[in-house]
Amino acid sequence: MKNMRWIKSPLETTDSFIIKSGISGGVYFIDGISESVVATPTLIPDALSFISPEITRTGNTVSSKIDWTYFIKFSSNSLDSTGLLKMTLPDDVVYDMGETLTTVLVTNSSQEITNSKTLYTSGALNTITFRSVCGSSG
Amino acid sequence: MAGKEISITFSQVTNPPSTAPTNSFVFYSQEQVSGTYYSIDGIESGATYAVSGLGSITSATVTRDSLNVDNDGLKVGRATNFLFSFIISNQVATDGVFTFIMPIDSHAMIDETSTDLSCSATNCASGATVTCAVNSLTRTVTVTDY
Repeated sequence: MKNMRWIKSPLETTDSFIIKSGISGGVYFIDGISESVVATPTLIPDALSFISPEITRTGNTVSSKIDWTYFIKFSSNSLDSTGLLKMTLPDDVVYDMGETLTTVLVTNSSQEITNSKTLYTSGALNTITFRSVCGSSG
Repeated sequence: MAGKEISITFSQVTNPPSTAPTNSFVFYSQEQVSGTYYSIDGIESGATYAVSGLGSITSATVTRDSLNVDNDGLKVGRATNFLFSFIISNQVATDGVFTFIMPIDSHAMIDETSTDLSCSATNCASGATVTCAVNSLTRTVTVTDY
């Protein structure tokens, strides 16, 4: 058997193993259960790791407009073209300037990838979701 | 009574032990002539009976373990072992079948690239050795030789 390549949370009612006993031939059944049978323990996600130089920025002056570059590495799990990469930042780290956030994939000729962002009430960036990361990288 | 519908209730009979349709009921109307019953109308085929509701399986748990080659069987995408534990309500014959269907998009899937799926059991009629077959299209593992 093999674990799924992603963790579904929360689980739905239909996300149950089905177990049935039956007579010879496997067509007709005797006892069965089809709800609330879930596997334990829950799955553990693999780690994404920062690789050197980890995080670089184009400026070091307070309140100046900068570019950030993150260097990360996937574990043994692949990410298909419809997958996404979601980053959560601590509050009060970088602030949204009210402009379009441009994200590029440095490892693929700086091809632009789509993103969406959410903000903390302070105006700082909360999450950035990158799409088509592996679709762009080929 | 000719041409009329007749309803007769039998009380306290027991349903069949599985969802398999029964053989046909046999009905005859008969008339007694000098102490002997002679058949008039009859039906011998097509009047089968089947139930669809299953008995209960209780205390069902599914436990995955980490004991694969890399000892990481709890991680996403890795090979793992599953222990199914449950209590059945009705007896299963030794040539019966247990069917396990993996849920969609969660928990587990059948590794199409692996040929070393094996299964074993405890508290079964034949001992610890059972036979399992996999259908990855239907996400089903069928266990026989129970």
